[in-house]
Amino acid sequence: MIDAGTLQPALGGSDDQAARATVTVGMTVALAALAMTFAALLLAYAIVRVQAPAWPPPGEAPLPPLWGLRLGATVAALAGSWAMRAVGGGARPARALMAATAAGIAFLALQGASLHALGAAGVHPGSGLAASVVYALTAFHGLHALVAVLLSLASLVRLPRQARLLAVVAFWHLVTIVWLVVFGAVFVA
Amino acid sequence: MDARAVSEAIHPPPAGFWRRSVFSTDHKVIGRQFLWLGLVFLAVAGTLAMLIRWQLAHPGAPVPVVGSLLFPATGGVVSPAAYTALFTMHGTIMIFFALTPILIGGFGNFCLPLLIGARDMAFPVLNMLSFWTMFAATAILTASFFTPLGPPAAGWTSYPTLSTAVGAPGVAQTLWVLAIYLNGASSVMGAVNYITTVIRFRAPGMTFFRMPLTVWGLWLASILNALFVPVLAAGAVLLFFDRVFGTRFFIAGSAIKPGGDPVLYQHLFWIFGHPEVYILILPAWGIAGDLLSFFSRKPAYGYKVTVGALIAIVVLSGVVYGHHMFVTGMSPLLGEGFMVLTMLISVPSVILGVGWLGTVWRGSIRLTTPMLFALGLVTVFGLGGFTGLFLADVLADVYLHDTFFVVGHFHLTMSAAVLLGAFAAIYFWFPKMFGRMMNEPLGKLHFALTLVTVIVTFGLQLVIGYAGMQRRLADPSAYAFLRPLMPLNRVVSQAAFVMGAAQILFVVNFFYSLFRGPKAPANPWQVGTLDWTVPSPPPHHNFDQVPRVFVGPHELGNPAVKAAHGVDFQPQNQESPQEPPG
Repeated sequence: MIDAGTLQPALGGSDDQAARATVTVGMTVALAALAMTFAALLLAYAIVRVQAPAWPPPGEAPLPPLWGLRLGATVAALAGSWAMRAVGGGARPARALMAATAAGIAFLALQGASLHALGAAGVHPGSGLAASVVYALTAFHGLHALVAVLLSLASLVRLPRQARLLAVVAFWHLVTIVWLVVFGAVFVA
Repeated sequence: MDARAVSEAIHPPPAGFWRRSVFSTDHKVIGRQFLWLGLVFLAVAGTLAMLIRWQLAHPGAPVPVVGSLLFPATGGVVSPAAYTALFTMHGTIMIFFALTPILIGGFGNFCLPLLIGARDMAFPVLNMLSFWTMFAATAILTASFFTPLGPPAAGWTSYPTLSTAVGAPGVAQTLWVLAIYLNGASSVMGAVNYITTVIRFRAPGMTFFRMPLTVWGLWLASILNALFVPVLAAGAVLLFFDRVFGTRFFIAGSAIKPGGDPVLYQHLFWIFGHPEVYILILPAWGIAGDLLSFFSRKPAYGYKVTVGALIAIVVLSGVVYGHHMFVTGMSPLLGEGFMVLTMLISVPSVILGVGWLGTVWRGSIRLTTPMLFALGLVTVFGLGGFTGLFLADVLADVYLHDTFFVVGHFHLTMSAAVLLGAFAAIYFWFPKMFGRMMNEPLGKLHFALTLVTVIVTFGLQLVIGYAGMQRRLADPSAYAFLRPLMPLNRVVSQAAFVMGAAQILFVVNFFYSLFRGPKAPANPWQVGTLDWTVPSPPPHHNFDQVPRVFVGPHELGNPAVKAAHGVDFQPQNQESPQEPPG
């Protein structure tokens, strides 16, 4: 039979420190790629916003700000990352993972609620440029938040090696950071 | 034994067929899977090219033999709509699903761990996932051929407005976007692996400046992949949202309804697209650099300078994308900036060329098939590179933009040159991959026919473009001023048909050698890189003992080695002979 160790020569063996360094390099590259994706999306937003004579562009109704839902989502994202911070320490990773997963689910629920509220207010992806930006960035970021939640659920089911657990933590932090940037750039600015 | 070697334990090969041959995590199996996938789609995209050339040589005439099968509605004639779909799919498949999988997926996977003395990639499961993501992407793209409104037809660049839900109402363009996104995801997974493997898994003594140029090319291409493929992904995401959910990023506004900016897509596309051409050519350059040294039996001339030039090109490639957009109403000041940066690339490019010529110069050259293809790459890339100077110049580009001059230029540089590099790699590593030798005379004939037809086909396209024929015209003979070019177009097509037919030689050679070729020794080319120090094909774990590296990859023609060991090459894991005292 093949166990996970056989499939992962890089992570196998006794030298956890070497495996950790390897995962760190790989995760850095992967997160850089993900960060570039969001950077490019934000660049696209910046270009359409700079080109518009006003924001939202003339002819588009201002979007409902939904401060309650979005601030709530921001708090949930920060809470999730804060809980994840404890995972690295290694004392009780399962408990920290559970807390982070709960925060992640709360984040997804609040984001879903804010998109639902937009729809209820008659704002659709095609309503205008400002609505396009809100829908696209919220949804695409939400997909990554979903992946983060699924990763921590999977880690709860079967606790991975320390090196991989740290990769999950790093992914969580990046998703949180991207949300903070999106929140600042799209909803506050 | 050092810590790194401990972390790379030997594992027995998996027993079951599925784990061993299909869902394998062995980089050698995954490399072969990528190679097969790339070769199949190379054949598909090549066939599409033949149909394109038929239409440009004989517009309005039904395609012989297969015409009524492929285009039943028009009685075998390539309609303008079908023509648009043909060049769209030809470009898309060639770039994303043929050349990339062969060189980066295939040889990247197969060679990289072997060349640096590792037992596998850093993340083997991710590696397997990378292949199957690519496989899913090809399945989706293939499905787009069979949609009700026909295959995608917005060009390989898929610019809005053509690619929006208005310009391309069918589901095919949406499938194209999905396929490109998945293809990008696969490339990034590969890049994570390659970058990490080179940083962490080099054998003891394998310093960065002892790595073969092939590894440098693959590693630098992976860095570009990791940084710039995500930008294309972002463009694909927004295009997907525009098409499926009705957002308005790329839909131009009107007086009554404000909107986005179609040119925005072009920025996102080319921020990725220019690095992409280097992603394609960097591995081929690296392979050529190594092969020229191996078969000239002397060290690569200016190895470190060559590496420096490669790095300079990687850096510059990220800041020149605007030269694809000179005619989009770009500010002249910005255009001039992009022009200067683009022209700067010719400096490291010429340094590369000098390195290659210096390597061959006064070498004891062995004209094997891989060597011939490497020399062909240098020739063809040289021709194509010079024509890039014209396109980099804003004033010349305003005239040449969107003509066949561009088509000839990019085919010579990043298509034909890369293809020749891919063939060089196949002929060179086939013995290591499959344990058998390929047929040399057949390979040389394949080379001669391919090189001549490549130069005639794409060289004449430069002439035709200079004379003013636009690309992407379904029927140039419809325009009086282009009618005098029809004889030239026919010559291009005839050369292309010969090129296509010549590939049959390769297919025959490939399959014959696969089953009937003579058994390959461990080191048939007598070179010193680590891949040739293990049996052909290598065992599951590559190296019984993680090698210790003493010298660079090109230790050829050293008289001291010849005196001590009787051969003119020094394996990288062999200590240099002691200097005689005094």
